[in-house]
Amino acid sequence: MTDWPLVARARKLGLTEEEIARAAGALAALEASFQPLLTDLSPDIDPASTFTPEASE
Amino acid sequence: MTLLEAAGALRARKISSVELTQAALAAITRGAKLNAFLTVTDEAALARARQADDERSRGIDLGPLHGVPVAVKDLFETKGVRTTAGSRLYANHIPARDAAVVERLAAAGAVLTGKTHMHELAYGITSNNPHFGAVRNPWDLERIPGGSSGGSGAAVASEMVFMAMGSDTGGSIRVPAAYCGTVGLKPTTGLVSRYGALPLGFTLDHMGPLTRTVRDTAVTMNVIAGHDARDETSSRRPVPDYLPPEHVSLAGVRVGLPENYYFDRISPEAGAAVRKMAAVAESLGASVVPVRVPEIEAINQVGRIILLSEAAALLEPHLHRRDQFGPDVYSLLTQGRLLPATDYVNAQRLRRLYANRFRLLWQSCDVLFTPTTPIAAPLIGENTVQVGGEQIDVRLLTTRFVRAINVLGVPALSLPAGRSAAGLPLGLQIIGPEFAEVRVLKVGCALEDARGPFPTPTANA
Repeated sequence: MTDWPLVARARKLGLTEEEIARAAGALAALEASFQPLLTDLSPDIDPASTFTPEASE
Repeated sequence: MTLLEAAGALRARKISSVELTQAALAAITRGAKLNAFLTVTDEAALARARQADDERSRGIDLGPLHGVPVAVKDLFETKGVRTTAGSRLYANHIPARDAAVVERLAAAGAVLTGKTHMHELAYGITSNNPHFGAVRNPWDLERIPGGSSGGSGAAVASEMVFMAMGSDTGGSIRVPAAYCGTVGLKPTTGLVSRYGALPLGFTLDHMGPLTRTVRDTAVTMNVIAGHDARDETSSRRPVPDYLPPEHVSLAGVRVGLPENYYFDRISPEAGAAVRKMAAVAESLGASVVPVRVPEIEAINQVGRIILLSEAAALLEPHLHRRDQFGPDVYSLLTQGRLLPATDYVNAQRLRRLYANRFRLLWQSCDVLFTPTTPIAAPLIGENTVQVGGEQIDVRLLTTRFVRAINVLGVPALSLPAGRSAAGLPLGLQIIGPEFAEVRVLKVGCALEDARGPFPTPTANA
């Protein structure tokens, strides 16, 4: 699993150790529940985000 | 008095819009301790009310909202009127345009009384705002009204206005509706324009009303729904009449009652309130069928990844200004900044996959009944609550039954289903297939008619 405190420090976001610990704890729990879902994905599944090539203005 | 009753009284000339608006402004003043409003536009409201009375005297009738006092959450841009999104970042933001919803309400003759208070940047469910103070629940001033549209919920429940607009990215209309004892609708994605509403999650944001009755929500939808070319996701589908008939039958309607997920980690009284409403639906002719809801826990996780990423991307340019953010919002934004892009893309891929699987649910039922929230409103400042012997984070618990619906984009209505032993409202969530608002509102209306009027909170009296 990801070493979230290491990632946070490497990003040099100016976070305090308390902020890093809080974010890291939440992300570790989320990662544990999210990563197993990826086995559901086959290469033919596109993202569901929205974009249309027509001009919007 | 409901919105439709007010509209009837205006049409019958039993009351004027000025009188209704003065009463609304007086209620807002009386309820100041709820902290439901960030800005009250009293002079403009009275001017619009005078105009509405004048129009009516000349035989002009713009529909049920004509001359009726309403409010909008303070993330809908209002031309010349401060729009903060509950954030220090926008504390002095005076927009040069109206949001699409504000335009439509104005065209329908509604009287805008002001801008309702909210969770900072709409990113949370407590409406305990570090910059502008906590919004309080009109049933118990020590409790949260829910969020992020907490001011809208408090303002409608305490009869300050007949309708207040909210936004819903992960439950932010339905949670305050449940905690304050009002009706709240998160419409299908694309049905109500997002134009001019300050975003939080680009692919998760929805705009919808909070009212005291289902019919009031329906007539509001008749005004605010419809295509808007300025919102890329806006649907071009024709808009039906959402107002259910006077007598609603549920004969032939299949109500799905979940066997999985929705009755786990829940207070017994919240579950009992929903089962009671299912029994009411059955007594009105519906059939109640047990269903297993596909992938629902996974969809919740997908929704969290998407929102963390989209909100952090949106606010990245401001994140060096640490003092502009409250600690809870800053922590979520920090999490979003640290997530890899691959997680976001894969979450959007899973979204497509799970939406297709979820759609199969509608083969066995027409609507789904769930609790809106697993508990009644927690205390202000309460970060965890005990449910079923487990201590659970209030934010995660509160959004547990609502967040996935934003990922799926389908409509969901919350209406009061009963009250807890402590007298606090409990919400029923009615979920339907995409663009099935007419069906969802019809079912909600039948239950509401059978239940009778929900009480008005007295904590603010």
